[in-house]
Amino acid sequence: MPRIRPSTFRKALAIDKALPFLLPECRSIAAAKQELQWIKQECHTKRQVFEFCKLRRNHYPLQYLLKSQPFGPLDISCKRGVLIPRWETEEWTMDLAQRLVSNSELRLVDLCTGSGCIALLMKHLRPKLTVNAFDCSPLAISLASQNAQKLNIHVQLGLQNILDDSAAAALPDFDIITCNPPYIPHSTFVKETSTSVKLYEPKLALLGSFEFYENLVKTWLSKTDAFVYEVGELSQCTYVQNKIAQDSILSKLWRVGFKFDSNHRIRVVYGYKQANTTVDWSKIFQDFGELKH
Amino acid sequence: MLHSKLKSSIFSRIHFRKLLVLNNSLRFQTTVSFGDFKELHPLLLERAKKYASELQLMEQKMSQGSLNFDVEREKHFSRLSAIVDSYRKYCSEISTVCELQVMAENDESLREEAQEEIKEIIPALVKTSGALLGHLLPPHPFSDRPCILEIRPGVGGIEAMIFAQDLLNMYTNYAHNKRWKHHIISHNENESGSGIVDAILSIDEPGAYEMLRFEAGVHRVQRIPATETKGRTHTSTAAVIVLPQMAADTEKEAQSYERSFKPDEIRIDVMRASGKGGQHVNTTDSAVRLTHYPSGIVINMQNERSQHKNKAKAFAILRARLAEMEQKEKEQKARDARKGQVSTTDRSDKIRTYNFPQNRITDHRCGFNLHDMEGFMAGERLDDIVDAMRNFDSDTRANELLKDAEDFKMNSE
Repeated sequence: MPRIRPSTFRKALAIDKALPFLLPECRSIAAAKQELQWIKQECHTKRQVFEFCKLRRNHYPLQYLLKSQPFGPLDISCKRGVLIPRWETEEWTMDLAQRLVSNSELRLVDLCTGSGCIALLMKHLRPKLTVNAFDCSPLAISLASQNAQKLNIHVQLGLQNILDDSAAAALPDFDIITCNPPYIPHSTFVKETSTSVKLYEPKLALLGSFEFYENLVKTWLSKTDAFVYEVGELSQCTYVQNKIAQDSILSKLWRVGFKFDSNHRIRVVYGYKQANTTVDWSKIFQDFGELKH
Repeated sequence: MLHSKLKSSIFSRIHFRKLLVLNNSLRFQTTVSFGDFKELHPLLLERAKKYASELQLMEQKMSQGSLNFDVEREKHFSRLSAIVDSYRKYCSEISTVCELQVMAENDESLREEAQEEIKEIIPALVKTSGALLGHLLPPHPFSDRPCILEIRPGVGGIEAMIFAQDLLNMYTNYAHNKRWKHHIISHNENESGSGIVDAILSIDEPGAYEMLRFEAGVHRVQRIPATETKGRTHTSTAAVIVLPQMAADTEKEAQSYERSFKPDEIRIDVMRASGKGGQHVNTTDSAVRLTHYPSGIVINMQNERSQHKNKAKAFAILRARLAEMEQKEKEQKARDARKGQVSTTDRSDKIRTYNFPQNRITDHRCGFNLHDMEGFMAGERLDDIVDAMRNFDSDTRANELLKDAEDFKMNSE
C-alpha cells in the first residue's frame, strides 16, 4: 500500500481537525470526509467524534464504533467478538433470497451465523422460510438473538459446534444450508489480512482452511438438498468439487458451482441435488454462478 | 389606455355576444384585450364547452348509479369538474364585464362607476382565464409526480461550485417554505468544502415536478465572487436538471424495477480493491456506480453506509432520468411533426441570469425580471418566476394548439 503523503495530512487538517486521524484507514480525503460525516451523524458531542476518529487511527473498525452495519435493508448490530458482516456476503445473500419464490416454505439452516446476518436477511426477504441458525460462540448467539429481537424477525438460534458430528444428527432434514465459515488459512493470515481485521475481529470467525468444507461433505450433505458456502480462495471451492466428484454416489446426485463477487474474486461454492427435491434447484440456481460439476 | 379602449370597442361588444352564444367559426380570430387581459380563443372555449357537456353526461350516469367505481374515471371526473368550474367562473365574469361595458357606453351617469368596477374585475378575470387555460391544455404526463433536482456547477471553477451550493440552498428553502417534504439524496462537497461538486435533492411532494420543471437548464450568475481579490465581477454557471420521481417507495417495487433490466444492459460496479476481499478486509466504502449502456447514463452514489441503499438510490435516479429522456423524445417528435417550431424551453440554453450587482434576476425565456435577490435566494420569491414561467408556457402551448387546429382546418378545406 502506498504511503500517505504528509501534504495530504496537512490538507485534511485544514478541512477538519479530526480528519487526519481517519486517513490511515480511508486512504483518501474524499473517503475520510464521507466517514467523518457518518461518525458525526452518530455522535452527539465533538469530543466523542474526536475520540472515535482517534480509535479509527488505531484501525478500530467503524462498525464496532457505530455499533451497526447495514446488511441489505436490515441494520445489523455489531459487537466486539463477533465478525462484522461483509458486503460480499450481503451481495450473495440478497441474490439467493431473490431467487427463491416469495412464498416458498423451505427449511433453511445457517451455520456459523455470527451476528445472524444471513439468517435474518433470508427470513426478512422470504418470511415463509423456517430458519435455524447455529454458532459455536456464545457471544455470537447472544448478539444474533439481540438482532432478531430488535428487528422482530423470528429465527431459531442454537449454540452448537457444527464440526461436532452429533450436531447434524440432532436435526431433521432440511432444504438448504448457508454458511460463512472462517476461511482464512493460518499461513496467509498475517500477510493478506488487513490490520483492522487482524487486530480487532475474532480469530475464531476468521481462521480456518478446509475443515468446514470437509465437514460439509462428510456430515451436512446428507441432510440437505442444496448448500451455499462462502469461500476465501479457489482451492476451497475445488476441494468441495473434488470431494463430491470422487464419491461415486454423491457425484451422480450433486451439481456444484462457483460464484464470483462484484470485485471478481471467488466468493461462493454452491451445490444442489438433481433429483428427489421439494423444489427445482437447478432452476433457482440458474446463472447464480458457474457450474463446474 | 383602458378608457380609450373601452370607448372604441363597439366591435368587441359584437364579438362578446358571439362568444356567449359560442360561435363555431374557427376563422374568427379577433381577440379583445382590456389592459393586460387577453380573452381566450373561441376554439379553447369550444373545448371547455365540450368538457361541460361530457361532465353533465357523466353526472347523469352517476346519479342513475349505473357506473361502478373506477379510479381512472374518478380522476377524469375530478379533472372535468375542475375545468368546468373555472369555465363557468370565466363565463360569468366575462358576462359581468360585458354588461358593465354596455352600461358604461349607454349611460353617461354610470360610466365612471362602471369603469371603476371593470378595473376591479379585470385582475380576477386574468387569473381565472389563466387557470382555465391551464386546465384546458393537456396536462404534462408527470405533472402529479414528486421531483428530483440535480445541481452541478458549470463554468467558473470554485465560484460556480459556490453558486451551485447557493442554488441548492435556495431550492431547499423553497421546499421548506412550502412545507414540502424533502431530503438530500447525495451531496458531494469540493475539496475545500466551500461549494458542491454535485448534489441531488429530492422533493417528495406530489406535483412538485409540475412546479419546478421549468427550473431545468443553465443558470448564470454575475457577481463578485468570494474568491476574487481584485473586486472584478465574474460570470459563472450552474446546471439544474429536474427529473420526475418515478419509483414507488416500497422495497418490492424497487426490486422488481431493478430486475426489469437485462443483465447486459446494466452494469453495477462496487468498490474495486486489490487483495482477497471477504473476511480479509473490513471496508466501509459502499460506493456504487451504475452504468446503463443503451442510454449511456452513469450514476455514482456513495453517501449511504449501505451499499444496498446506494444501489436503490442509483436505480431511482436512473429511472427518473430514463422517464425524462423518453418524455423529451416524445416532445421532440411532436415538435418535429409540427415542422420547425422553435422550442422555447431548450435546456441547452441559459435560462436565467442572477445579477447580484444590479439585484436583478432575469428569466430569459419569458423575459421576467425580479428585483429581490435576497428574497429569491432565500427561496421566498421563487414562486413569482415559477408562476410567470407557467403562464408563459401555457400561452405558448395554447398558441401551438391553435396553430395546429388552424393548419388542420386549412388542410381540410
